[in-house]
Amino acid sequence: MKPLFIAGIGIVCARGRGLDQFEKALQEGWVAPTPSKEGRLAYRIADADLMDRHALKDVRRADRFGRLTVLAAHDALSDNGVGPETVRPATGIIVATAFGSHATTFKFLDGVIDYGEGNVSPTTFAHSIHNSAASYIAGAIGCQGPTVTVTSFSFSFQQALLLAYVWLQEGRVQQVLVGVSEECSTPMEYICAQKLSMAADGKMNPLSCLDQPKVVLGEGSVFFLVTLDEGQKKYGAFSEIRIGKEVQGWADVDLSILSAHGMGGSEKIYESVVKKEAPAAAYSGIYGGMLTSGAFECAAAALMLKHQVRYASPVFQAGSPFKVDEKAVRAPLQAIQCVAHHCDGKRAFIKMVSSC
Amino acid sequence: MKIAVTGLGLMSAAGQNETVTLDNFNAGQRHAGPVSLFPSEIQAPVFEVKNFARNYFPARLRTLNLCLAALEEALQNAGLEKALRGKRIGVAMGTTIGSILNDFEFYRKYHEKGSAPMDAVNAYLQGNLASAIHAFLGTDGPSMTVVNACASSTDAIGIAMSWMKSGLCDIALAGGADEMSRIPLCGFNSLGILSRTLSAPFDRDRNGLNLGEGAAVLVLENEDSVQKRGATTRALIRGYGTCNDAYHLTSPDPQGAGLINAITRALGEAELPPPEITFINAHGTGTQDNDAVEGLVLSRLFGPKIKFLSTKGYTGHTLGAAGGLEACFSILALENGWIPASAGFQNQDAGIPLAPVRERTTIQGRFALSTSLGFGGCNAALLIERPKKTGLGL
Amino acid sequence: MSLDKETELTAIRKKLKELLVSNLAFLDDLNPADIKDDEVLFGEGLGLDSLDAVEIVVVLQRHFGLQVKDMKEGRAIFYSIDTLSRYIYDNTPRI
Repeated sequence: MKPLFIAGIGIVCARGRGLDQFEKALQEGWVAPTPSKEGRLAYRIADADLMDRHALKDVRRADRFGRLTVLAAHDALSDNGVGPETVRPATGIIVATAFGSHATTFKFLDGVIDYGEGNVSPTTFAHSIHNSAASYIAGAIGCQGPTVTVTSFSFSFQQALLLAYVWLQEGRVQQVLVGVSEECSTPMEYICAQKLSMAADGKMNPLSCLDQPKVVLGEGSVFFLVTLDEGQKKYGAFSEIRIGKEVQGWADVDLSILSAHGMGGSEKIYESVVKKEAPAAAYSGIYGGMLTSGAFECAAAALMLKHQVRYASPVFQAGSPFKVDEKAVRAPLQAIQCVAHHCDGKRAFIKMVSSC
Repeated sequence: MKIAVTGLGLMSAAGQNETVTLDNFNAGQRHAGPVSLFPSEIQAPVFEVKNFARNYFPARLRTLNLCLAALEEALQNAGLEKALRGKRIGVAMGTTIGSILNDFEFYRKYHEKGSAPMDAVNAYLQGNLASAIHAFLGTDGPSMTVVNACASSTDAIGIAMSWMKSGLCDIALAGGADEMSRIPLCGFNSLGILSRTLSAPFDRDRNGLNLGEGAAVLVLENEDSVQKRGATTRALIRGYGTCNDAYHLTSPDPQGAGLINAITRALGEAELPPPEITFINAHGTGTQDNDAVEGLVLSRLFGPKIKFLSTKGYTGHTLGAAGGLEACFSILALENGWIPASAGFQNQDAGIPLAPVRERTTIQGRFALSTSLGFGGCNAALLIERPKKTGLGL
Repeated sequence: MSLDKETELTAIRKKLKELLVSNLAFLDDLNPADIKDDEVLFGEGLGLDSLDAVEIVVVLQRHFGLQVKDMKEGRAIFYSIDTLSRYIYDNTPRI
């Protein structure tokens, strides 16, 4: 695989909007999640972080899922130094999600129940189709290139990144905005509370390789502007992507970041895919558990490779089999791998490098 | 690299296999009726797959079950029924309903009581089409469930082709599925585009779409794989184009910029000029907006005499399955040398510079174009070729 | 115009403005009271589009019990706050 250079990153999560806010959060470490009316803890994005008259001016009716997606994608483009005013026919857009705009789906069903089948909101219906957010990105940045939304409960981001690479390789586009979006909703928080082990104290334990990991639900969006043009590189590159049952990671990396989001069942598997005592980190305590958190881990890796620092994992992980930093460490970093697994036994590894 | 279709499987109201589908096309039979799969106040004709009871998974996963039924047929057709276990293949499937947690009974209970049993959720978590197919077949490899509204399965086919051309897999299964569902029924109704009569794509008096359900799966292979296996090539997919309008969430760009782009790219990839196209299987939903734009674009690119049709008069609008079904129908048409009447069409719209075929029509060329337009400004096109000679190899 | 009719129309206009602000997406936090009675809904006025039009149909159904049978008829009805209010008034049964 040729290196997939990262030309820009945009991110929105509970800790705020923008890479600066994300980096600040990585430096600060854990903060408590907030309780809903029903008392359920989650890392939710503040409404103020989803207001932006300029970025959202052409997408006034976007639902919350649409807004957080557009803002992250918009920011990835601006991070590259090019504003959305420029028309970009040679840009592809790939949005990956696990659960899509479920808050809107539930709102639509509310309408069916409360007002009857004949009185439902057409706008809410349109937003409940998963690809409305991608359509809003295209509209917001004036992009008439290929636009695709993909969904999976496992490795949605990793497969999307692979597709971005394939599109660039075949010359379908010159650059791709590829990213993920997830949102919280009251019904989804209820569902997670039934099926998962919620962290009553708000602290996840992703480095402890537990059979029943604790989770705090999160929401957010991360987008990468990627290209095969090294001249555009701002944050290093994705150098390899491996997905499957038999695949292995790399022993020669400076750090392994675990995509241990607490939503995929037992996390004991990480003991066998990452060497004992190897340096490892996990940052789900910053943004919460999401099935597409792989993208957030890659964003953290990109920042660390750029600034040559290993951020401490939020929340001390007693009994972790790995070498875990309790404080940020400035150290030469050439390569980081982001490791994910799914309960069907498949795993995914993304290798990121600071230079090629 | 040439991408061959070596097998296909399809499920729709027009038929649960190729023979029945062709018989219904030939006779111009439209099997629509009121919604029977769930109670509904909305009185509109829909195209359900009747007497479908192949439950590979719990019955509530109807989209997945339809998809697996089409998959089995496709694998049998390609001679690959048991040959894929343990292999690395690509699976790309399109859907809309199949990806959404929208079980009505689950949500009604939750809405009323603030709690509900988790069966529907557990089923939903098993129902991602591409993941479930890999698990069902015991395969590994690239996996993608595409949710691009009504262009989903066309884009899924295109993505599978891109994977193969990049060397990620030699074989891929691509297509899509969607079941009859309350959400799009109510949703299209609220948009004012659900017709209360049988749809009439491109007709002067058209007043909306009919909802349908179905599934289609194509087995795609590269030349090496075809030659090694001695497989039969039914068709070649020569080109794929996909572009967004960047115009509006639910209305297509009236100038059809995205569709023109998508078609142009598909033709470009195939290195074929418009006059080589024998016929076009249009998206043709029967709505004012879609048919107006599509008609304008097809006329501009291919001239007013191009033979074209919409098969949605036989299947209804099957959403995520539409592109896959229409690719299959195009292959069948090229193989058999005829296209059916564009069901529902009677009078030309003065605002659309061309008219679809009104009766079963012989076709003699080897190239077909299939177009798909979806909410969110999605436009996708596939260029399909009947090989010069069928049989072994390419 | 009788006092009763004008009072009712005023109430309809107020309710309509509030419903439009709460059901349609306005990026600016529009105060319903700031919308003029003769405000044109589409194009140059509030800048609504075809998706807003069908959303307004649902507002009429849900909150006023009214159906718009034909969207072509809808063009004239939906022209401004005034025309829409008068439509609601004219089609609301009175005892």
